Amino acid sequence: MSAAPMTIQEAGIALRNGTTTSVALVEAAIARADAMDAEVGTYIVRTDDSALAAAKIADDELSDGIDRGPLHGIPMGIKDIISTADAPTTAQSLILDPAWGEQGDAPVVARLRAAGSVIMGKTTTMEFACGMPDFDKPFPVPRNPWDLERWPGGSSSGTGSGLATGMFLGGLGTDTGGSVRCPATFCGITGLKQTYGLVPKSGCTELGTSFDHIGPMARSAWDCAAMLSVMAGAHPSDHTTVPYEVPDYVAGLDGSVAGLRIGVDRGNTLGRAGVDPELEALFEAAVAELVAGGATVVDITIPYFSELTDVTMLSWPAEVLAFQRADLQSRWADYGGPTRMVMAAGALLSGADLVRADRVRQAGRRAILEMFGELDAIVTPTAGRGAPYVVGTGLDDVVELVFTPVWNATGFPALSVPMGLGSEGTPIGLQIVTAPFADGLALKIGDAYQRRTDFHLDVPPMVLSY
Amino acid sequence: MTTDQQVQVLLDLAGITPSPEEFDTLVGQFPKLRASIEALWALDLDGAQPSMVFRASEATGPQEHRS
Repeated sequence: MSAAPMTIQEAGIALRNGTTTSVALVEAAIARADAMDAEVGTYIVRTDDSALAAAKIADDELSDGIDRGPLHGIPMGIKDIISTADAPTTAQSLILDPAWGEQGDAPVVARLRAAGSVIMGKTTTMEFACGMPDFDKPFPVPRNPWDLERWPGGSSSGTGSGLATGMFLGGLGTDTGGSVRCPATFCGITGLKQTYGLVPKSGCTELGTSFDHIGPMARSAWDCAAMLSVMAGAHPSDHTTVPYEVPDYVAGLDGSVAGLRIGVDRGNTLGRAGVDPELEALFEAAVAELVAGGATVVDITIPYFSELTDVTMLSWPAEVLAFQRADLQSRWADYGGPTRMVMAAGALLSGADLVRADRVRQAGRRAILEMFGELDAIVTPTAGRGAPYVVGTGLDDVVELVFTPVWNATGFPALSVPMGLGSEGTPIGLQIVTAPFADGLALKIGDAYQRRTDFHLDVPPMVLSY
Repeated sequence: MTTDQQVQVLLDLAGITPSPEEFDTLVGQFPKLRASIEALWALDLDGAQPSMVFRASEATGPQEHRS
């Protein structure tokens, strides 16, 4: 019987009181990968040797009194569309020029590394973070550690499954329509899509550039707060980043939701056809925890909910087509089937359609922003059900299932935290949304919820039995 | 123009050539996609604002230049 993996917060305490070392954390992560990766498909590339070397340096620094903060000595996984200095970047594609990955660390990876993080390797996704799992290409098919017949979610699949199995304690995902929050809900971990422009996304392959975010994924809101404190801040390589004085997000976690006004949208979510029969009970229990903590709940209907979902799901395929068009024209067959079909759908809109979509996007954004004049946060389920099956699930099926794309269209921060297991025995998340740049408030509410519950500490049975 | 012809024109404009089976799939998806787009056109928006904006910091250069 193996122990459950630690959170970053727990590991940080253990590192500093001498009950563990970074090398021990990395060795444990490697042992878990040795035992489970063949089944789960978390990694494209593992960098065990450089990780152990970095862990040794981290331990030596702590011994010498050099402490780089909460991420010092912590093992991290990086989604394989983000460039790193010590491993190639494939984007899980035959198309991406290997030279693209030779640019070194993306700014966000460099920031994690400077904060003492230990990079364990590159994690699986779908090709260019697009489409659905592809069995025809020479890459691992990611599977959900809660049920290997199911999908861990996408497109940050490997980061989700690797966190659930303890192959690393924190990781990077990207989120264009929900690709941080979907693996978070399906794998029972915590993931944040922060405010658009808060974290630089240079050094990452484009999908829908006006919808893309690189976000922190971990096992708790506290851990995501520690990561965001390091990841956030403008960077000259990404003109969409906003000059902003980044707070210490961990310092803002006081465990309280007292006095907060939280909008609850049931109509756009619980009322949807095909949701898990346990969803309503899970969600109402989560809302009751917030009320018990002193929050006031207000019934709301998120304006433009379905339209903003459509704006996201119609527009990003056109944006990725603009990025991939030349290769699609000349190397159609080298793309995976699911990927090229999503990209081709981007050709089926006119220029005027895209302008209209952008106007709806701005109108929806303004309407929801107005709502935040009366509210501190909005909560919904992250998804209507637990993880879908790997085989036989299409992108449309997933879009019907999740409540995430609205927040890519608006750019508002949205955090997913586990709120229990659905009727099929797999996790479902609670989504906490706040106004732009109120990322710290979303993390504070998520942390307060996790101080009152322990769903985020649950691990798949295979983790305890390997 | 039939749905097949509309899809063919749009793919030709993009310069991409799916297989016949993939083309049929896209033709099958097209009505639902168009319905989603038409729903956006049907909304009664209370005005539209340009998505292109300049930040105050970007106005600094030209203002100095004018003086």
